[in-house]
Amino acid sequence: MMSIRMRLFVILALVTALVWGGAVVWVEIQTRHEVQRVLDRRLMESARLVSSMMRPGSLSPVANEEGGRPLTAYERQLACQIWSMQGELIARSRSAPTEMLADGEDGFSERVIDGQRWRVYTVHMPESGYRVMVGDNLAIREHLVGSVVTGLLAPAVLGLLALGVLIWWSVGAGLRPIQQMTRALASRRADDLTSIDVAPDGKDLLPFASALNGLIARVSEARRRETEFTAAAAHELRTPLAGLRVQAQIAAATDDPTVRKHALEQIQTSVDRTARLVTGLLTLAREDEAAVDDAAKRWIDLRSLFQATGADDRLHLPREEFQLHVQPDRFETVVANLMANARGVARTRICVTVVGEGPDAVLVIEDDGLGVSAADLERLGRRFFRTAGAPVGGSGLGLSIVLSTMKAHGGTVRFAPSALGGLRVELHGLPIRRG
Amino acid sequence: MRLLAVEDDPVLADGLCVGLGACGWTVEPVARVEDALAALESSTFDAVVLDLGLPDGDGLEILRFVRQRDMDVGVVILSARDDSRDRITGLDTGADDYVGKPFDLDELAARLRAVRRRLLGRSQPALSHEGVTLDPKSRLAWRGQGDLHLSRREFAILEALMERPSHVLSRSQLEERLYGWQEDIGSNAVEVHIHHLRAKLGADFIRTVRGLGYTLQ
Repeated sequence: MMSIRMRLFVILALVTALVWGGAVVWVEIQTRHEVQRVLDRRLMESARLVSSMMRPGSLSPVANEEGGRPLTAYERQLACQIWSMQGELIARSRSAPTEMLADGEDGFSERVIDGQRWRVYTVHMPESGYRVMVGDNLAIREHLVGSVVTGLLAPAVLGLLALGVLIWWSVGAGLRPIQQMTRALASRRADDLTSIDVAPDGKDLLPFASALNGLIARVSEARRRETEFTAAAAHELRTPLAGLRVQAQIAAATDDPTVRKHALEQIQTSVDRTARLVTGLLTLAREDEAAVDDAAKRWIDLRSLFQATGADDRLHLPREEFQLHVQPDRFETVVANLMANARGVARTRICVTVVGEGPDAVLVIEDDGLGVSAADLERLGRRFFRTAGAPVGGSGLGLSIVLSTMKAHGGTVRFAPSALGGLRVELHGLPIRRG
Repeated sequence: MRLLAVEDDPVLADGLCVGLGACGWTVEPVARVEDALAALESSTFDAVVLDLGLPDGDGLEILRFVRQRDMDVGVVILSARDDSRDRITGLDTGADDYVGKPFDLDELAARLRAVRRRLLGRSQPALSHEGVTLDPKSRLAWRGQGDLHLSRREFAILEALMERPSHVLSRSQLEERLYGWQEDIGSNAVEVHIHHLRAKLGADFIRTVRGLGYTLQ
């Protein structure tokens, strides 16, 4: 995997090289064109200059002499020949070959002589009977263009290398906030769930950091709940365990059969209660994690749902038939828990009613027991919370399970004082229809 | 020794009554803060076994109540909350000892005896007065080499008197130590036990302070 730094570097280096390369090509073309134009002009002017200085018969053919001092590079550039109309070489500069530079037409032409390419300008002077040809050795022209381009290219390559180093360093400096954050994350302990700070120059990282902080907050909250729950569960299990241990110790130590029998009965009671507590804990753990699947929902009859919890003279169900759209096995637990609570406190009446219509329909379960104080109403449904007046033996998990299951069904639960005198439990958000 | 057991779990409360009752103590069980405060206000206890998580509040309220009133009572916290922070809070609020649940009944009894000893400013486990020695653990009493063969209630009365030989204990104070709330007390039950004790220990071992009660000096 490529680091962001390397990726940025490669992109920037390629783009820069491309721009520079383009510039070099453009300069080369431009230079070549300009050099051609200037040199062509020079050829033309030279040819005109030479021809203007000649009068008819003023020249005689020269011997083809060589030697003298060696030619300098500049002198070698231009070559001049003067020919008679009959094709006789009248005169030539030292740099010029003896062979005719052009085929004799007026204007520019090119020709290869002895492997050298020449660009020639020819001027005809019919009145004086000469032809003047001035030529440039193209190899030398190319050399000129080449040195101009090389002169530009060498600093370009050096500049590009220097730019490469600068780009590499700049990208590194620019990415420092990311590196800082990476280091901070990498060196973080697993139990450190504080939020991540972003360096002041890392504004672009803020959305990333805040998403990460959101995740950290959710993990932290889940972990806090889990720790609390585990601690509370351990706490709640310790007390029945202590009771069991004490009773077992009594049973083992006593010689009195009545005392032993009593202790063993107490152990049975406690084991049953602890088993209920464990069942409650497991149910709660299951209800907490799983939302209800729509495919598992059925329309079930309200009346049979409540009657399944056992016959009770105090129970008053609505006269009309209603059906609820719920996951049957899980909703049965809700009804069973609410009915168990109501049965424990109701004096003469437990009333089940459906209030409202359609999506606003609310299932209400009320009792005429002693009711719950305003302070306790707020705490109802907290895990292991038992009201002061609650019958002994409850696990303190029943309403927590009701809350969790209702949440899994997409509904909510509200607790209020009942007009009957006891507690009113309202189940909101359940699909209810008349059946 | 008379104990108040503040515990809302019925099985454990029953275990404390029966188990600590077998040590010769009278145990009164209550399950709520309110009831515990009422019991402490209305009668005298030698020690309180205190659960912290109670249905109508925190057991520490009871501890604060006891310490604010400067009651002469040992408090042993019996709690499922037993990490060191909870222990520190409990002990600093004024508890004499802190026992985590679940616990060994014999250990709790031993701790209660130790708390009682410290409260009375004594380091010897055995009580002795004028040649008579009581062992609160084994519930045995002897004079010199001879076993005194005391009944449970005789032992309890003698223990109460020997814990503070110079104090005068009234008949009702002795009755409280002997009988739980549920038990019927005969009108002259204490006198009967004192009579038996005098027969075993000699007539002038226990002195009657007329109109006040009994003392050893």
